[in-house]
Amino acid sequence: MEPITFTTEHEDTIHDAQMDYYGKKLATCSSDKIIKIFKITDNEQIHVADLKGHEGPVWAVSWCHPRFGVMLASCSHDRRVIIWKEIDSENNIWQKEYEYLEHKSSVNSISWSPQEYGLNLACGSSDSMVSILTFSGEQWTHKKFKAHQIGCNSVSWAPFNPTGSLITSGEDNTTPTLRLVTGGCDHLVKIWVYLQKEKEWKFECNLEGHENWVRSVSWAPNIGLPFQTIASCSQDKKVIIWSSRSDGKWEKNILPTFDDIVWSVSWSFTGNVLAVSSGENSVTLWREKNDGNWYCFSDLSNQN
Amino acid sequence: MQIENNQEKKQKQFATEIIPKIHSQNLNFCWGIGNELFLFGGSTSAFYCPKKQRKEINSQENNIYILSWDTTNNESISKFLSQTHSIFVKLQMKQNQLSNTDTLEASQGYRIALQNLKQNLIKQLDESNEDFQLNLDLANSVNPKAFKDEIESEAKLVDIMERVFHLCENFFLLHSKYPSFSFVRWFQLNFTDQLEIESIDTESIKWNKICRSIIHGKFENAINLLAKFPPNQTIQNTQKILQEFPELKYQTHLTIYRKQFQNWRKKCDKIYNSNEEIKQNPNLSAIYKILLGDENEINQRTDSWIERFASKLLFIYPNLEIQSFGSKAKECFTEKEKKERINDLDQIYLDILSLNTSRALLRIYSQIGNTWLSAHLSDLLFHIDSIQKDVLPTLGTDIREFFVLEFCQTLLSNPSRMPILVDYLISCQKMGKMLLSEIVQRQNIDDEFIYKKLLNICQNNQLDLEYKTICQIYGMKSFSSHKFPSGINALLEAEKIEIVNSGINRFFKKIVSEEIPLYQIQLVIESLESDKQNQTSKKVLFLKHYKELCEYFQENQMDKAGRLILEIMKKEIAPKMFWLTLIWDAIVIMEEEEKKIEQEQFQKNSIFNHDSIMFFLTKVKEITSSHQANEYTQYISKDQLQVIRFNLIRALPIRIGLK
Repeated sequence: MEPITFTTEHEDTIHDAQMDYYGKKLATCSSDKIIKIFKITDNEQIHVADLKGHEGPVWAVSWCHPRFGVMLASCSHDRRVIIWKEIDSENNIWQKEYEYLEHKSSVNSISWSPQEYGLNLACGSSDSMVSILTFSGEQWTHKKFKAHQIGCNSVSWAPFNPTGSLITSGEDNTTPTLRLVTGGCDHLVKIWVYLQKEKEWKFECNLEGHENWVRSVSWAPNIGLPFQTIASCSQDKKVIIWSSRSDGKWEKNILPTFDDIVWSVSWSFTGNVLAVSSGENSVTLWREKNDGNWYCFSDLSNQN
Repeated sequence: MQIENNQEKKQKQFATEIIPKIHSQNLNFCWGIGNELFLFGGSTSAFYCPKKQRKEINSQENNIYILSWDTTNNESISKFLSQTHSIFVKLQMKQNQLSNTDTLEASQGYRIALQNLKQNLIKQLDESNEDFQLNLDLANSVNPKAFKDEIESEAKLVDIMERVFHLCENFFLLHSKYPSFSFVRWFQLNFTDQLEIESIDTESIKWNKICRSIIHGKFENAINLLAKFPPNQTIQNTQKILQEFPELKYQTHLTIYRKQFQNWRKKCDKIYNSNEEIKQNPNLSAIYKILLGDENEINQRTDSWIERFASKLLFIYPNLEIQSFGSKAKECFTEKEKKERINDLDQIYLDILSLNTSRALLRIYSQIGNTWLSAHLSDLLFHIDSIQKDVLPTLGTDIREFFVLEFCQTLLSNPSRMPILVDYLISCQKMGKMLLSEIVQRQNIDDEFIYKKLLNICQNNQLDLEYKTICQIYGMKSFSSHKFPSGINALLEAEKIEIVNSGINRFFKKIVSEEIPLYQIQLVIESLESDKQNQTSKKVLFLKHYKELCEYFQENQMDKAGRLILEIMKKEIAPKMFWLTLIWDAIVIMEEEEKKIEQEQFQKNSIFNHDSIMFFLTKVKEITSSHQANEYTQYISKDQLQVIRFNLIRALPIRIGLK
């Protein structure tokens, strides 16, 4: 089971890579300010486009759902969020669809909402604010709110839940509710809910348990289980799995302590495997046992 | 049989992957589809260090490593999956009408598939070894030893899987009324070796083999081995008593069997107690002690609890009730064995014997780690009501569905597995649909065949939203590749009229800027006419007229063409982007008119009168002074626009008085 290796020819460190919805294209971004697009097949990886427009290291990229067209968002140290659109798939031509420059500091994390809610992009920034960019059919609008003191490091959307929210918010429980989880430098994981009537984002609750900056949050995809799950990780070397059942309360389950800072957590698209990157050179995969405990079933350590 | 803890094995396997160390960076990742990760040495924003300040820069910093696991790309495994998929589907189809024969057939089918898989794996290994010997480059690029280890490990695992399946088949399906018989048969087929009678030389080995054959219930072997000794009455009596051992056959009434066994036992006891030769011969004595169910003798002569248990079922409690199997099996562990950790596979066997199938399956899942086995075995047991059916709180669903969904993860990584995957997901009523929805939407719609296949899946599974999403995506893709009819059809199906309109505008731009064959226009018209709500009726009307216009020009029917131009412009059917082109065409017709017809006839037969010219001039002004002038005038050159203006102004006085 040897890994396949390919060179991206970025001229500096890669900060993020994301597969598109179909697993056919890979976008990578780097400190060289460029975003590269690759077409991935079973046997090869073909570099098809370079997206240039940022003026600083690009921290993250995110693909939107294909029903909105082939679009990719990127965020950078230069305070920009750029939305790119592929205008010619045969010749791999991309253009800037929209550029957002309302943050006062580095934008660290971006995430597209579930497609059922339309085209919304959440952006978390070191200026402590979270922006939600929404395309209404004709133009892009935005809403901003203060999320975390010192800075917001990560954003993640709740999956679309057509039966209504498990966590009551005083709203009609039959309408789907937009929810977002953020992680920040105030050691907190926060949940936000969008109030349809007021057309505003409201703070819902804190998830307390970390003792240092929260580096990454990830809301698990919904495959019909009667509970919601969020994973968060922090510089306190912990990964916490938060679960909420029908009563709306969040319970925490702390994974066995890691040896070093935990940087990133992410769920597989079926929501049953959690990948965690920690320390300098470790990625581990975790699964829940039937007794509710989590176990590591692989360790992808980086060794000579 | 000892098996290596699969978790530890996997960890070792992963840990020894050769990924070059990327200095001073974090190993980061993103998910691919299914069991696939893209790894890269990416530092997060917090760990950012400008390039100039870094002491060392590693050229491997900009590499991506694609790692996948539990994928099903091996040809033998692919064949195996197809075979077992058919069996699985058949079981689901018959669900409420399953007979014992059906489930037994299914179980035997699975076992045959497993046996075939093992043979194919071994064959694959043999063929690969030949390839490696012939092709040094291949041997260098693929690690032959690692490949061999992997295949052998797979083959070993397949053996275990078949064994577990066989036990369940025997215990729950085949001989459920005769559990002792089931277990002994299973034991004999899976744990006892074929004796090579001819090669046995020494006497002690012979006696040892005889005892082992008797312990294993293989009396025929024992009888044949006894025949190697010089014949005497005692040997013959022993052979006879072995021949007379009451064999429990399927359909033997248990009460009758009990009596037969008791009678045989008495006979055995009589021979043992009345024959001094037997008592004085330690080997013969051992044989009779075993036959008479002497526990100490049996314990001494057996190496494992399974062997012990099988022997005791033969000679001590042949009528053991199924409910007592678990406890009696545990009693067969020696003190030493009890102190040592019971290995995972033995735990699984014990769980099955204790009728705790759910626990056995959970162990199979977590210890063996093979999702195929847990999925298919749980499904089979589910159909014969030998497994829990209620929802387990920690899993969120019943155990069968949980394992089938876990198996589906393995299929995800390989796109060609989609048809198989769908069938497994459909069989999971509770959560399968959600996952099916996700998976269906993640299929790249490369062509119409895949598009139709996906729509079919959505229709058959009431995935209405997903149906429309797929139509929308296909429609948009079609428009991007200028396949307008299929794009329109798909988007009308998706009820996305705004995108249809946008697509039609693109088509209009294509018409106005290039020559489009008339049949293409016709195809687009037909697609638009399928819009039952008539939301695009104006566009359809224009296209019809435009096609008609093109036909008039082709047939040189200029008067009809001219009248049609006037009509579609005056009735505002034509989109603005066409105005200048249409006016240009009108001017061409006017010039032809003027050349061919003499004054009188010109006055009578002219298509365009003074009012028409004024109308055209108004339209030209409207277009050129509009804020979207650039958009509307891009399809003709500046010179052509000048010519239009000039000719209209020139034509005006000529046509004064014409009506």
